[in-house]
Amino acid sequence: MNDDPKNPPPGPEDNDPRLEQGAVSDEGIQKIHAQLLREKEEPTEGFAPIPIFMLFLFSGVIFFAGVYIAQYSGGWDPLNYDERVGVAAVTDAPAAVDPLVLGRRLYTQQCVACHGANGQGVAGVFPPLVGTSWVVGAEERLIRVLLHGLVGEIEVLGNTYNANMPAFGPNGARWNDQQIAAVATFIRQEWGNDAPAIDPETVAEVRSATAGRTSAWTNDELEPYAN
Amino acid sequence: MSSVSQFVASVNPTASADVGVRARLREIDESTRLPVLLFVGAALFWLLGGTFFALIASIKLHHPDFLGETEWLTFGIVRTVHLNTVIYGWASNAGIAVALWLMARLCRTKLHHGGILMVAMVFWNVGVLAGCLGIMAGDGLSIEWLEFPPYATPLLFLAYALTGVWCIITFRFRQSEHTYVSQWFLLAAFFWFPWIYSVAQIMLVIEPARGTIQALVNWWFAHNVLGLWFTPIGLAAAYYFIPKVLGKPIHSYYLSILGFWSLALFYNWAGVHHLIGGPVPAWVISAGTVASVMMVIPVIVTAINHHMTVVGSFAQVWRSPTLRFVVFGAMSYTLVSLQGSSMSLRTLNLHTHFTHYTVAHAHLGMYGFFTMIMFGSFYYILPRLLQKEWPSSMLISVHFWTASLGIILYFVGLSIGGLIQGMQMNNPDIPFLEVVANTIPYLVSRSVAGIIILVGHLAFTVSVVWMILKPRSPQETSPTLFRSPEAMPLRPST
Repeated sequence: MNDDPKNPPPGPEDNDPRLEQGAVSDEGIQKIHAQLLREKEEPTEGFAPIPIFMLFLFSGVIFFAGVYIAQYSGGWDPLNYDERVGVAAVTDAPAAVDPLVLGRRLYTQQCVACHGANGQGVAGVFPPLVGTSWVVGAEERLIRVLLHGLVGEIEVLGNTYNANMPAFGPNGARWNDQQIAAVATFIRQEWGNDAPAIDPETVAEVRSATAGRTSAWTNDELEPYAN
Repeated sequence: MSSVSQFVASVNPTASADVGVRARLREIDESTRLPVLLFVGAALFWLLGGTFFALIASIKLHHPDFLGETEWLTFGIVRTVHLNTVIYGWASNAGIAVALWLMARLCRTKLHHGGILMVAMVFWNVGVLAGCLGIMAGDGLSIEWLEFPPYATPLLFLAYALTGVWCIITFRFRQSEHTYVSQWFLLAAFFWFPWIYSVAQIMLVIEPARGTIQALVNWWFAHNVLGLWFTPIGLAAAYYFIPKVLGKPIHSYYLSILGFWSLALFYNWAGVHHLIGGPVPAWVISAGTVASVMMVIPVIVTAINHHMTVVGSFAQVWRSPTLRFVVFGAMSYTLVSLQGSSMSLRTLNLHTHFTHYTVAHAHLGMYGFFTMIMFGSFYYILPRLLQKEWPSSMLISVHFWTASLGIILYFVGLSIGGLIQGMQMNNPDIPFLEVVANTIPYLVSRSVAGIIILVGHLAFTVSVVWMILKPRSPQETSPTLFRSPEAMPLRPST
């Protein structure tokens, strides 16, 4: 280190043969490089301390992070995709599902295209669901239709229909008992229909009774269950 | 404050009036001129291209028949080409240009063998061009942010290696004893990008990982392109230009260092919040959420540091094109990052996931923050490289107002539209098609914003081309500012 101000250590420009000290003070160069001459020094850093309220902010953020990761780690289980598992409020009792809400949602997603938003079907093509014994009549026939579908001609409210009802059970949309029961209950109690609700347990019974069935029902096959 | 710095300058033998120091700067600028100008030119080309593709994609969302019969202009292709031209074409070229110039300036050393950087620039842009043509030809990969077909990526990687190595070599030749905060960010960016890019390429394209690991790697990469590549370069530029133009030191070294290390620690965890609700272990997503919230620390720290540096000099910020763009970018950074932290919370994410809200957020980051800072940097760097002044302050005004109002309109419109969309999608009583139809007014507002932004980009391009073509005049010695210098009490440096 050379601390003598009269003899400063050679700067990098002193060693550069392309840079003559005479030329750098030349007026022409100064004008051309006005952009350089007017610019401020390269930036430096001040040393103001970190404001004290930041400490509180950081503590708050870190506290939140700790609580969050403890609450929603799902027990650090690699197979657990639901962050709420392990939170008392959820594991104690699963929230009760209103079959009418679930049924309406499923109906809007899956049934409305053919049977219509009002359950009136499409005249001559898709049968209505309002006021027909197929819906408000025997529980078992309705459940069988929902589980495995229906093909061939049927008669509904005096009109003949011949369309394909898809399966929503094991060979189709794979809905569970709760879903089948919900949509059945929904159509039995909507649009002025007023039939008793269908339990998931009833659906489970029909499901096991028809286990192994791979094709849709026909009108004749369902005749024994019409009442 | 300014009288203090003038006093310091008058007793410091190496301070501003010293022609030797200035001549040294001239040599440094000379060594960076060609490579940086080439990267800037390429960036401008892709900026225009990316904006056109963005507009086509935006119009297609409310008028699906628009250009619908042209195979290579279908929505899936146009949107992908927009994303890739903007990320790898505009933003990466601009970022590399600014990073090289800053690195040489801050290390107070010349770039050695600039020719190799020009080769890198050619490789990079041929790679981007090949990638975009490949996507249009139907070879694009179905991995978001990595759609370039495999034959384009080796070119990109080679070009990147040359640039990154050059930046680090420049750092090793540094003449400055002190390493300024911008240099930390630049060095970090040049180490982080090859890391995330190569890991993503290996785990997704070359030897694809199985199952949901793919989605995790994909979003880890896509989020970190912004967080560990563009953000550090943008922050480096903000940390440089704000104190540089104002002629003040940056407020606090301690805040800088805290901001840097907390960003380094938290950012690369945060990408997982894109997978909330997905089939990913719950704790991974929770860790991502926590890291996203922890990002509040570097963001607040950076915001305070910048704000305290600017405070008291707002008139200068308003007059200087560089500062007005850079400060707009820095403010957007604070806003977009805090918004990002909130979006990672499951309760809000429930409504915003898969909606236009996310799109608005992404554009506030890439445009409001990064692109605006790049514009501001160019307004400072180009006069020094070309040794000319900007030809028209009117064009700069047009550029600033179109860009800023355009992105504000874009952000506000799509955020509101996205929130409504999210609420309605979560309501089973509203059919999906109705939700789609309800977004149309907001999508139209996005197209309008896109046209406004395009006008600004054209103004900027005209400015740059005009500046390159116009003859050098020794008479003009004052910078082009928003208002004439005579009307000003103080003369800022640019």
